Amino acid sequence: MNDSILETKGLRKAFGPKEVLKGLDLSAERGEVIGILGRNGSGKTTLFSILLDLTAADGGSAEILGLRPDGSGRLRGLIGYVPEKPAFHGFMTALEVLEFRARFFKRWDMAKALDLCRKLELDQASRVSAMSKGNLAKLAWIAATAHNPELLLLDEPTSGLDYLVRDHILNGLIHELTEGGKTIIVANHRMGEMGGILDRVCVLRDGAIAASHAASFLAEEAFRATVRLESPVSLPAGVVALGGGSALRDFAVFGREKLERLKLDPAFAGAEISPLSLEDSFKVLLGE
Amino acid sequence: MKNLIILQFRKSLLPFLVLAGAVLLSAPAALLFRTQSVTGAEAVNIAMLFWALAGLPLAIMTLAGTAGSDAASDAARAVEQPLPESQYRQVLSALAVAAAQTALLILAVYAIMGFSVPMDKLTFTTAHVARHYAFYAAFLVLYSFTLSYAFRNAVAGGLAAAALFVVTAFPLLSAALFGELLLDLIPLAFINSLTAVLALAGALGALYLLCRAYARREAGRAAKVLLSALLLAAPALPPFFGLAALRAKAADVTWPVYPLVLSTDAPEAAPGVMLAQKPFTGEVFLIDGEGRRAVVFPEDSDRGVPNYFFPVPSFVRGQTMSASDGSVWVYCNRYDKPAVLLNGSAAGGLKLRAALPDSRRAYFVRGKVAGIVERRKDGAYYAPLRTGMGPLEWKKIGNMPAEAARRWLAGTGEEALLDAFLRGMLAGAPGVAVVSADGRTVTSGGEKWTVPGALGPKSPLVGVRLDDGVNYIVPAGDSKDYAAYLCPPGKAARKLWQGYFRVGSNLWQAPDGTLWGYNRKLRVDVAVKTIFGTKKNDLESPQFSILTRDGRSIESFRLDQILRDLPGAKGEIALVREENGALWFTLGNAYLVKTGTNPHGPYSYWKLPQSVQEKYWRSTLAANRDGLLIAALDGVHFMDWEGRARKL
Repeated sequence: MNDSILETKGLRKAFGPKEVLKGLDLSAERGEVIGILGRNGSGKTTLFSILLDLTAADGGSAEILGLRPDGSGRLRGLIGYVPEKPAFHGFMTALEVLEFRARFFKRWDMAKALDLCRKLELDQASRVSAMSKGNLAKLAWIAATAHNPELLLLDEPTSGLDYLVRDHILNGLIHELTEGGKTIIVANHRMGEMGGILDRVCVLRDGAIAASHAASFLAEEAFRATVRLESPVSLPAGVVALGGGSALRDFAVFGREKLERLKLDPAFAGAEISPLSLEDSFKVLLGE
Repeated sequence: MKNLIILQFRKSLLPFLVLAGAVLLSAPAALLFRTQSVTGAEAVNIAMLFWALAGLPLAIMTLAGTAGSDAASDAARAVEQPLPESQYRQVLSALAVAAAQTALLILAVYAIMGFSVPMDKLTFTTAHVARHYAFYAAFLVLYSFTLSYAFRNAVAGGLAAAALFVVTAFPLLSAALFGELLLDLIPLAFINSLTAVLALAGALGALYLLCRAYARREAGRAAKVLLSALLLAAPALPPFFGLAALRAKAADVTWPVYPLVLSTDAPEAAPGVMLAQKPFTGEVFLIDGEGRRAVVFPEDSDRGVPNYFFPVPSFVRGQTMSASDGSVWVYCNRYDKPAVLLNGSAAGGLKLRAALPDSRRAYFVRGKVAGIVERRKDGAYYAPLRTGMGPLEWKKIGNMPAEAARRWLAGTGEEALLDAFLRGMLAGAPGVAVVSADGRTVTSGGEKWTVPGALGPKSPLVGVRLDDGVNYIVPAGDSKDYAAYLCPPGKAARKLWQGYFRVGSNLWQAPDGTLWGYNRKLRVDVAVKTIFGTKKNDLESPQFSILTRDGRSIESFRLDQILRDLPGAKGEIALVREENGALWFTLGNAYLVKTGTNPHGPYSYWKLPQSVQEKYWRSTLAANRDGLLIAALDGVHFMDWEGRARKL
């Protein structure tokens, strides 16, 4: 059985003179949870739009769930999508939205949708036009998952959610999905909160995947080295200066091997080593 | 698609219900506020016509325009496009709903009118719109939607659609009006169909491209938008090309120039030539069977912008007459130029003998010396026509009394005013006989004939030249028993044919001298009872009486079988030649027929070049000894007696 759910090769997209994607390669296996890390305007939403077959790529290829984007909209029937800014018809109630969507998705599970409404405390009778940002986000989650998609694309999925709901989604819903073998690609500015569920983090920079790391690597082999430096030093690959005071400096070190090698450097003798938090790892990867 | 359509209908439900309510309420409102001179049904019809001609187009632009701009909006992108349906289908569903709502509104108006449009109450323009309403409504829906989608703005899209609608519909309306009032020169049904197909394909094609450019954000957006613009403009092309073709064809349309006054005693038109006009260019010319032509009025170089969109014909009146030296006199009166009197020939050209700037009406008259009578503001004038270059010698022959002036302005009364003068001129002309007051004596020169009592006016009789000289045909007898009497030179008068025949009335002479008359001018469509008791349409031919040049008489000659065989030949039937027992007839302006004297015998026929005869039944033919000059849709043709035709 082929476990590849998604594969893009050399994906390109420009809007006028601005090239947003410049040959993006990305693949995802069944059940994999991938975080796409990128700054604002880096092309995350454009990538999702192409994967959803909403926007046509200028070049390259994409195959999602065995289908190629062809403008027919079939792909969207197989993908669950939580947009950054969820929108529904204002004249509908939450229940009407779900009933309306049910007509378009073959695998729609209304019982599941209603159960999620209850779990997320979303009033089915509330009208969309009167919904808060958080309730819209809840409805988007329900709409994205109620048809049991094999692939979920989550674009800032926790935006607007309060802590309790966010926790419920992250620790409940997403875990449930991942355990069910669903593939998830998530773009989130607060990727740290996703840390526990990610399998892989891809850094989207300059229109391409600049780096890809296993989440376990970032969790277990990312270190902070704090050291007093008397004079400037040249840093080996895999070591990134984080800042700090005039003499006491922080460095991020990716990889245990690199850390051991760094320790041998006289300048780093006596360095204080501690694990680097995921949040900080992501910041380093983003180049912030 | 069904779910999308339900969604779109629900989205636009409110504006649609408001418009539908306004349509429905306007019927009782019309009844409530009608004036006393208008019946209830008329008031409702007027209200519905207002809706049809003004209200619904605005409603269509509003509904379709709003739907189009909404389909292109960011809201639609965020809410609807993530649904698992193609973006084009989503846009089409919005268009389908706008079209359905339009159809429902039209149906409501039509139903309130009782499913009947009072075409007889409409002007030509509104009747044309009514006949093509479905096309125009569909056009507005398609284009308001598509252009609003393109501009992402309902107002801009609606206005652009209205502009394109006018650009497309105006030439169609113009061409239809031209076809209705004048001539069918272009295949308007084909152009209408092509325009409809291009409008449908153009709008849907443009929508598809715009959808790819805007919704799917495909590369090559500028090219797609440009191609969309071309597709949207495509339906305007057939009407404009049609109008251009119409103008080009109209420029070739040729008519004979008809005389102003149809007098039975007027001199014969000059033989062998035709005074022809091209009413859509203003050109008038004299042409002979060899194609030699002499210009009377040249083409108008500038006929104005309105004429570009609707070619307007300007007709001239005029007359030809042979001069004693074999040349041709031409009188021609065009509304915007001084009337002219010319002399010459088609081969050698025409020379202006006189401009008649004050001329309103003029015509040639017979006499010892043929002349011209001209009506001016202050009276009538006469000038004898002598070849040469000297000025015309005008003589006032009558004042214009108030009553005559009034009648003259009304376009009648020449004959009455000048009756005595014209009779005097005619009586003195060669080849004219005078009937005595008691109607029993006919005299010409030194000859005298006795008849039972001439019928009709006792005005001078124009003779006909046969092989034995000038003969006179006199209708004579009493009200129960009357006949045409032949007064031949040197012989006593004898009864020729039973019935009333008078030269210039129902008795004519072919160019070769054959005399022919008929009991009525046209064929008659009759209903005939069959042996099964049902009726079927049949034709009844005029009944011809023919006197050949050498004095042979053929009576009760009919063309029933030929008329049945050659359907569609409407208009006058005329004998144009007789030769060794063979007879040549023209059937309307459609056929030349050669037949023997046995009406059931073999015959030959030739289709004449297409002329304006479909709408105008006056003859477009001028026969001479060698054949026919035919004023046709594409110029003047000549056809000899064996049907060989050529364009001159």
